[in-house]
Amino acid sequence: MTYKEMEEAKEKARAKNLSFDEQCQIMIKYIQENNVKTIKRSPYAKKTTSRK
Amino acid sequence: MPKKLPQGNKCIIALDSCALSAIIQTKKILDANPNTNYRNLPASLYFKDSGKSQTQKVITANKFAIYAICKSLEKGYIRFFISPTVLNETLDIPNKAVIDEYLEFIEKYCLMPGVDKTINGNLILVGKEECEELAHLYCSSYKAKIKDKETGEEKEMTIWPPMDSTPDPLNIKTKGIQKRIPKDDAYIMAYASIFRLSLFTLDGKDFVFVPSIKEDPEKRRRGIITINKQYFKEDCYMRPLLPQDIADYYMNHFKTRDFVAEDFRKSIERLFSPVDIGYFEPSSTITSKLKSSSNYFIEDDFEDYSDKIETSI
Repeated sequence: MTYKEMEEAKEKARAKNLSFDEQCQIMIKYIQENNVKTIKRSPYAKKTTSRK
Repeated sequence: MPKKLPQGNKCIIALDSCALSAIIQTKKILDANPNTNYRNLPASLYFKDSGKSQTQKVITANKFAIYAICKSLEKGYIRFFISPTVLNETLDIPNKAVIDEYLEFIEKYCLMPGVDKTINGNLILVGKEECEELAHLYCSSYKAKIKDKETGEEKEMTIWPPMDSTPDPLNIKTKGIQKRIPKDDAYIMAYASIFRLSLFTLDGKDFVFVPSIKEDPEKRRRGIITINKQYFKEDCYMRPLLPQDIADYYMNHFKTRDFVAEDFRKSIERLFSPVDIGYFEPSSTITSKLKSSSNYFIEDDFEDYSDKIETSI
């Protein structure tokens, strides 16, 4: 697949207008159904201070 | 007993979808013929217009960086991080055979954010809420101290957002103004930053420079770095990196201009300089490593600690 074809796939994905929430749900489903290594938060994680 | 850390240092690199595509295709060529020289790789893998608008220097840099990344991958020096947006774009590739090829690669070499449970029992990706917040910040104007060219004094100025937003498809209007949401690129960059990773991309125009501002070619990248420092309240390394950055670093810091995997490994480690999970020292013990700097860890490597994981809410 060339760079151009990848760009077209990106455009197609964007055209679907999936929200970030929906994209995350797809990833959760994918992780549950497949053997993927994941990154977890450590028990010693510092909380990021929100600017909100 | 906790599992031992992986042998050897591993650098984790977050990928944009175009970089993922180029790496997979290049690896396929190198698997078929390991002696291929990077100069002989097809330019069409890395450019929309087969390199017509690119200088020879940029074409060579792209080929070299991706070739070197593939060689380092074979030696187990690096792994990749994939965000939800990149996975979504991969799943939308029209050719199913190509999707299968990509997913096989992802399963073998890539990491994704873990899944946590919220207080309500819903599933959520680790770092998702922080990622949304940071993506919005990339698309909002920010304040930074800028040195006045004439007087030399530092002044706090409001600066144009480094990343692009798009009108909300739900068309929500507040006081007559249509709400805007970050473009996918902002989420890709934000997820990398949340995990303290730099992002490797072939798309300079989306992550590093603004094509319309010729006199300020690093505008986006500088904005992203500044916002990261303000958001994390620390001196962060996370930033978008182009193949040119990797090639320049390698050529400037190592004696030979031919590819040497060990030298490249050093340049990758320095350039991506991860402060958290992206860097493992084989001699560290899990407890000291986690206590010292890590916010996150690779699930399978530390599964004995899974009962201690906090939820992300």
